[in-house]
Amino acid sequence: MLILLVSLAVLLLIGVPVAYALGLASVAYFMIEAPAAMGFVVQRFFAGINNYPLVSLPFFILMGLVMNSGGITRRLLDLSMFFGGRFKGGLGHVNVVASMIFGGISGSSASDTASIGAVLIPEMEKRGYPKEVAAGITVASSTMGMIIPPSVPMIIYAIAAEESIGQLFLGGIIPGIMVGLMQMMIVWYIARRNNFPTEDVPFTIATAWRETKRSAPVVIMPVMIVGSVVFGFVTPTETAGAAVFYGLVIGFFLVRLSVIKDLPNAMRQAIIMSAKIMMIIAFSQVFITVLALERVPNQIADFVEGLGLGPTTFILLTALLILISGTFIDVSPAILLMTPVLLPVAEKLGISGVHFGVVMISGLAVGACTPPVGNCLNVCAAISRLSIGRIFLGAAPFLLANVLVLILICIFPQLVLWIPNQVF
Amino acid sequence: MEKLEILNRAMTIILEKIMLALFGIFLVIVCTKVILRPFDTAIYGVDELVKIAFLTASAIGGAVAISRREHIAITVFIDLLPGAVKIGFYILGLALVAGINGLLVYLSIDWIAGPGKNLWQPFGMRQSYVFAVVPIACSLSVVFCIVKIVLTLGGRESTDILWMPED
Repeated sequence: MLILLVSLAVLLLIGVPVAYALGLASVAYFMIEAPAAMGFVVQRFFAGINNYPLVSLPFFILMGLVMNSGGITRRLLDLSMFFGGRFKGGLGHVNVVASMIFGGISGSSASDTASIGAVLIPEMEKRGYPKEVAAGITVASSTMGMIIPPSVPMIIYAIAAEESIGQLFLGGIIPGIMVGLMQMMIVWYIARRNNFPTEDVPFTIATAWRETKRSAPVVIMPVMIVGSVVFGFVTPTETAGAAVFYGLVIGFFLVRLSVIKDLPNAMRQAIIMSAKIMMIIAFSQVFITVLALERVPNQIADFVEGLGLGPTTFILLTALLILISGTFIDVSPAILLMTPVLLPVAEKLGISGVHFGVVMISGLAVGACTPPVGNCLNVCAAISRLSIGRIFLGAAPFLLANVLVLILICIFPQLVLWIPNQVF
Repeated sequence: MEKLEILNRAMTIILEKIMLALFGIFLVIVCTKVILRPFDTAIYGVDELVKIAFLTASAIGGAVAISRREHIAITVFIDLLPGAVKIGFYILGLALVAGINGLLVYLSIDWIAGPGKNLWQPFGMRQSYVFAVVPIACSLSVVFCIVKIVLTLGGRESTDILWMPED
């Protein structure tokens, strides 16, 4: 066991890719502890990638990339401007509302940061917002991309934990909306103190109807995706495939040929992105076999039981661990590393896998915005030309909303489980 | 060294085209399945076909991600080290990645010879045809690792960013 953990830690520290670090640590274990069982390595590796639901992964990633095109983002921003612009700190609210909607379409925080940030950060700067604040709101609000369904990290968790994708999607709705509303409250408070402007958006029924109609084909997409997964009209893989097709059709009508022209590159990005996650999944299967042979989850569960921790204390401590890990490890490897170790313990304490998953993803979403390893920070730094440290300082007040929601969903599981329990 | 760079680039591009073709195939199949669903028409064996195309694309993608340096790694600590040490660890990492891929190729021999004889349903073909994806992709990974090591030692690779961060 010691061999496994020490070798994994050393390999990760010296920068070996996470997938191969998992494989190498497992191989080191087999070589020393169970050389006769070495054949398991290739079998488990293959089992990891031979999984039909995983086919949805490149589709969801491609859907996000297709929906990331300029014309679609512009419509979402117009709609968000209509609903959020008239409040104090209007563009800050627009940023948060757009992220809530975009999160439901792209399923990824990094693409949310890229598409919304590219338009809104310069615009906010022009309207008198300090650049750090503009970048900070963009980064912090993009965390909703992971929490609001559909979400790529949720699919990865669902596969790692063998949980229902539909239930996880539904479980993310209330926490995602709570994060959005709390971030809007923080925007309002900061805007009042700094006298940020209100946008001049006339509110008439005709304008409301026009804006809603313009954005409707895009906005109904997450509803269709979640609806078809939850109610089982089609499998998650088919839903994801159909969503790509739908995205291409509406993309073609909104931005014409550019969506077709960009498609090969988007497909390349999607399949490479999914392949590197698949490699982690494949080697994590080998790693999980070693954990099972060593009865690690049972030992941790016994240890936690021995400490007399209740489910709430355990999940709060887990959330803290996730927040700390999220600052060093990217989202997908963090999910695949922590789920097989911590989920069995959580389940033994009576914590639902769906609740645990939403807590994990909400915590890791914060990690995506914290240095030194924060994808959203990296993307935003490239767009805004600010240092990661300055962006983080700008984002910190808004990330308080995420941390508060994380604590609330740890203490009140019903915030996550209420909607799934109503439907399933 | 230049020829090696050209070879590396050409291999990467060819493999990416294969991946794109496979992705296109299973995207079209899945969309067709959805379109046919209201008509209660099932196409025999498509799920298995999609799975085979997907796992082949993923295995090849694992190799391409080495060439493109797109695998997910935690480089925050080695980025703090002096340049030569950082490059040393990068090369060591590549050697280890080549090592585990070589081991998978070796282990695949017995695996393909044994369970590979069973039939892959519903096509009735030997499973070894699908299993062969693993040693092929792992061999490609070994080649890419060696090429990267040589190019890095020859000063032909930028080492500012060792592995691209996750998108």
